[in-house]
Amino acid sequence: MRKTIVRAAAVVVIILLCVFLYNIGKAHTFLPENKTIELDGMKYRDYSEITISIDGGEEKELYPRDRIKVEVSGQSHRIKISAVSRSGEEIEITRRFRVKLRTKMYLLSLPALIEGDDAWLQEFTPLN
Amino acid sequence: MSKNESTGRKFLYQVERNLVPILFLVISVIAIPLSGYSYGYLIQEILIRLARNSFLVLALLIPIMAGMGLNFGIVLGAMAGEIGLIFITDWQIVGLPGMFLAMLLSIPLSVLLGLMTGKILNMAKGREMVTGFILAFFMNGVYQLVVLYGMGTVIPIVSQNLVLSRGYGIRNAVNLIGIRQVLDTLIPLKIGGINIPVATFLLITLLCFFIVWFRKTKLGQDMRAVGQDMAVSEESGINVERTRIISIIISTVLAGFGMIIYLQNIGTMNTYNSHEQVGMFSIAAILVGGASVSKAKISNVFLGVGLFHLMFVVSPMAGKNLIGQAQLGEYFRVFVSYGVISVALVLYALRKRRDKARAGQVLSDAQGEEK
Repeated sequence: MRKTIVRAAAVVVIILLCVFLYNIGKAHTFLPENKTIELDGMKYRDYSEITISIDGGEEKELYPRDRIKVEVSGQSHRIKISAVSRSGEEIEITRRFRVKLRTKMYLLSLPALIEGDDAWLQEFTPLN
Repeated sequence: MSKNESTGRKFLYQVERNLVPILFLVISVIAIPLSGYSYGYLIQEILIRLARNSFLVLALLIPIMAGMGLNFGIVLGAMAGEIGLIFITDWQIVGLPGMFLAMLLSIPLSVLLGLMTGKILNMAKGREMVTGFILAFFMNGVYQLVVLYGMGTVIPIVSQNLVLSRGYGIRNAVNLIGIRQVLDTLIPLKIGGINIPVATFLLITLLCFFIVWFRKTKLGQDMRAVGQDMAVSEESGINVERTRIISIIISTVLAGFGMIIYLQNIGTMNTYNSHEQVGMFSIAAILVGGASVSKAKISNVFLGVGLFHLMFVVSPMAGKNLIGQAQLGEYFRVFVSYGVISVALVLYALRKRRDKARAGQVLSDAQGEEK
């Protein structure tokens, strides 16, 4: 009886470990963009220059109308933004966010994020 | 060996015992200058290959300890590892979590395959190696059936990059970009321009400690007893068949892990061929290191992988520089890997016969002195 319990417990631990590894290792693609966007009637203008770093990774620069691709893994992420507005104002923001496990791609509207709009993170379905 | 044997005979005996590594050392010493490679390049290549292959070769030690010879069944573990890799690639699990998830996924498959192999090998006592060799061919057929026809139909595969254009079956090559060298580059260390895959070596060291510890456990001692004499072990209450099965299961599981470490280093999986040569090359490597069918140490693994792959690296270029054809070196690689297994097995049989004759002579001399 004790042997069976130990074996069952070992199986449960392995399954839980698999679920944990699945969650932290699941790859997602982020498409951060520096484009003028209109969300629910609000218009957010692109910035002169935006530098981003996701999860402490390499810093990347985005100029007006730029869109880049960043591969990440896991559900929790941190984005660090340094932006220069058209009026020359410098802004620095760090934001933590979570993504859905099963969604592969997300569009990150950086001007909307800087302006504080919650709709800055949108699921993205590529055209086949 | 009797005390009155001359030093010369003792030396010859030692040479004979280590003939295969000596042979390889001599070939390598001749081939290195012919190849024209720098020592830095060779050291880097050997380090990479030690990291890539050692785990797989270490998987062979436990069945040898249990007297089951060289386990050609590690190919089955390699297949389990590959199936784990196919799943994580399909699910897009990347990085170290992906690699470890592939390892975890390979465990139940490896255990089942190991259990089956162990049971079959128990039915073929004394002919374990050839049985394991043929079993690997048989299971390769089953693997191909599952991967070529089962995946995408019975087993769901979502990623279009993995599935053949007809809609089912896995493509010939699986890109492991998500886990490529994640372990090797986890702890970056560069000394004198040479990259050292520290994390991989740490994992290999951990396995070495496990093997050393395992030998001292009750099960490990039972395996050694079974390896020495099955009949005596049975008489002393050891469940011989169970012990042999466990040794094969452990070996198969470790082979699955080894294959994943091997493929994360390469970064591409040849779906239908990657595992085929694994058994042959691992066994050739351990034999080159001076191991035999009945005795192998951890040092044999590292010496063997080092020497075997040193020759792998230098022989094509040495062949090209010597004859003008790189193909000669390629031919030499395959010829040597198969040849070394044959030579080692023949030497083992000769040595066993000679040791038996020598023991008989010693016994006869002792009886003569008593009279």
